[in-house]
Amino acid sequence: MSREVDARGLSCPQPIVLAFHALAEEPGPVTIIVDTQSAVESLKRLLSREKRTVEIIETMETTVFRIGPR
Amino acid sequence: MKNPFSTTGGIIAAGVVIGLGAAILQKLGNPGNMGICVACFGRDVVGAVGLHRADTVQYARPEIFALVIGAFVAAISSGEFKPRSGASPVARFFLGAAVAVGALIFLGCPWRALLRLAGGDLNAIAGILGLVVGVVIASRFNKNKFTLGAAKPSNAILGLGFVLFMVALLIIRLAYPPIAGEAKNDLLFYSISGPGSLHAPLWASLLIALVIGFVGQRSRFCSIGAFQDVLLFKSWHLFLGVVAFVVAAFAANLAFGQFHLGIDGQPIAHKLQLWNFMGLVVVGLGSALGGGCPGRQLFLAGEGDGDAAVFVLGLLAGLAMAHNWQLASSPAGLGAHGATAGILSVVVILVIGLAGLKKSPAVA
Repeated sequence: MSREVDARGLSCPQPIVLAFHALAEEPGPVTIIVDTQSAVESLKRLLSREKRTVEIIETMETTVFRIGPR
Repeated sequence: MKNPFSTTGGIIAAGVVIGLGAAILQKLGNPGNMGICVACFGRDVVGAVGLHRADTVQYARPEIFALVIGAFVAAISSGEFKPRSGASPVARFFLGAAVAVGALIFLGCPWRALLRLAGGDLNAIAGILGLVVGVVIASRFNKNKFTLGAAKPSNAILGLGFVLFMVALLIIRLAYPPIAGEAKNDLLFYSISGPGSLHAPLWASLLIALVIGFVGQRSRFCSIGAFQDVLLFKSWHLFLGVVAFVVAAFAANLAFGQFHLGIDGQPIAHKLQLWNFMGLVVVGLGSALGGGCPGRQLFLAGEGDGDAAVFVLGLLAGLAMAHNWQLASSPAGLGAHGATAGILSVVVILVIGLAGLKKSPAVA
């Protein structure tokens, strides 16, 4: 299984809450899409505590975190 | 490029800059334990333009305008100016207004609560406990995926609206300075006694608040997020910023002879601990559901967040009404309708909170 969280446009702390839930509930790959640098920085801090692989794809408007399985 | 303010050292530096800036502004003339206060200064601004007529709290505080402009400069320079809006603006207006009522029951925004503590005002402790309780209640909503919906990118010119409004008010402040001994010039009211008459020199207010606005936007400093992130994710990052803010203000207050430990005779404070507590429960709850403390909302408004701008507009409206309808406290105690307004504010916020639980469009 895998999961995708689209957190674009959500105000603080929802992007991180959704990511936190997804990472806790989903052992498979998780994709998280955010569109503010504030959320990107918080997510990086959150993910630094996880033992999962992380690939970050930045475009002009959004940042996509592709997170590997647990 | 990595943002140096996103590191642990960065958030601590931001807290120090804001705490030190506040203590210096007080040293230079701002009111006691009120070097910077988004609620009090917003209230003075709406008084200056005549939206309320409490003649002791009218002054077009340059700090408010400069906090937004500083954040705007930071956002532009880092490519983070992103006009966006549309996530339940009306709900945010009323959250801002409710937060205003709570802040004026306590007599200060969360920043001032911490500054009051750093100045030795022990009445602030009940307020800070209330703030934490408000955030704890809000975290129950946030854990259950409370949302006001998703904002959409908006037009760049329209996204500038709030920043231009702040620039316009600053220009009016510069063009219509106070006239010695006069309570009003052509446009603006200026208190000749009371807290509104106490202020740092214009240049100092502008300069320090521009720096705080810049640093605040880059670091995401938020007095509500500080407690919320610990509760929700056990992340102490923002909390360290708040600790640095208090420690820096405390140290500077000691150095400047501004530290006076006690409960009695504290500047612009009252001793009704239940209402100090309740006032900041409202502020903690409303701010946490609204996406940040009043100061953070100013920073977000500066980076083009139209929903944060509407929260601030609601805050300003609430601050004006708090004086028009005697909801605001004073050192003598509660306003005539303060208790009723405080309870109604909680009800308004809880209704918005429950309504926001019903949808979670972000979960695919």
